Amino acid sequence: LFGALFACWIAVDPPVASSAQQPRKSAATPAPAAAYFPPRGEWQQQTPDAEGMDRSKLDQAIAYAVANENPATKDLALDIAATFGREPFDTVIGPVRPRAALNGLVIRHGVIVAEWGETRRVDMTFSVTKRIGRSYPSDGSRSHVRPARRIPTTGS
Amino acid sequence: MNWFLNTARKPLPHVPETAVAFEGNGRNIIYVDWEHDLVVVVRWIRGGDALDTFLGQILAAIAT
Repeated sequence: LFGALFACWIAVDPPVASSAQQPRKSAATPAPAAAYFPPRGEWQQQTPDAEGMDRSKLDQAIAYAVANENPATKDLALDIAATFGREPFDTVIGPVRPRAALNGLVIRHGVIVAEWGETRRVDMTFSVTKRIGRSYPSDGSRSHVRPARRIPTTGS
Repeated sequence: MNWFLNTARKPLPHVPETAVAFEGNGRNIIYVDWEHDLVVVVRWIRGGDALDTFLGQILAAIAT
């Protein structure tokens, strides 16, 4: 089913500096057209109400997610063995460690309005490296494909 | 990467057809919704319709 077991170690959220909180645009000011690109480690946070979301309903949704965590063991070595153990080439060749509990975040209008659990924990992220295939121009050329690195040879 | 469309709202009936989601085993999810200017990340949610239900509740929290 999930034959490719490649995984990357990533955290959902980069570390946030203590000076991350900055006042956002006031309600009286029309939203500027410029997109918000947070500086590294300084993603703005805001209350749900400020971004047009009902806090209690948002909390209910998060509670639903927490209650619907993957019921399998958090020990990913066991989980991988239980899931793929009967397939060929099932030996784990990389580091594996227990995962966090369910966690996540909600971004509205580009700013974080909710965050719960260990979002900064580095966990395995399955399938993040899967390929989606490649297409070539109809004339058969591969002009937009990066050429292979030339290997220098002596005397030529 | 495993980016999925929401064609005919079949995968995720409670969210717009224009939304997309990255889905990986576990499950790890990145949901992108331009109509609501919303991005939702959730890790280790169970399979089945839990994701659709969760996202539907998130959208219900948006004041209309």
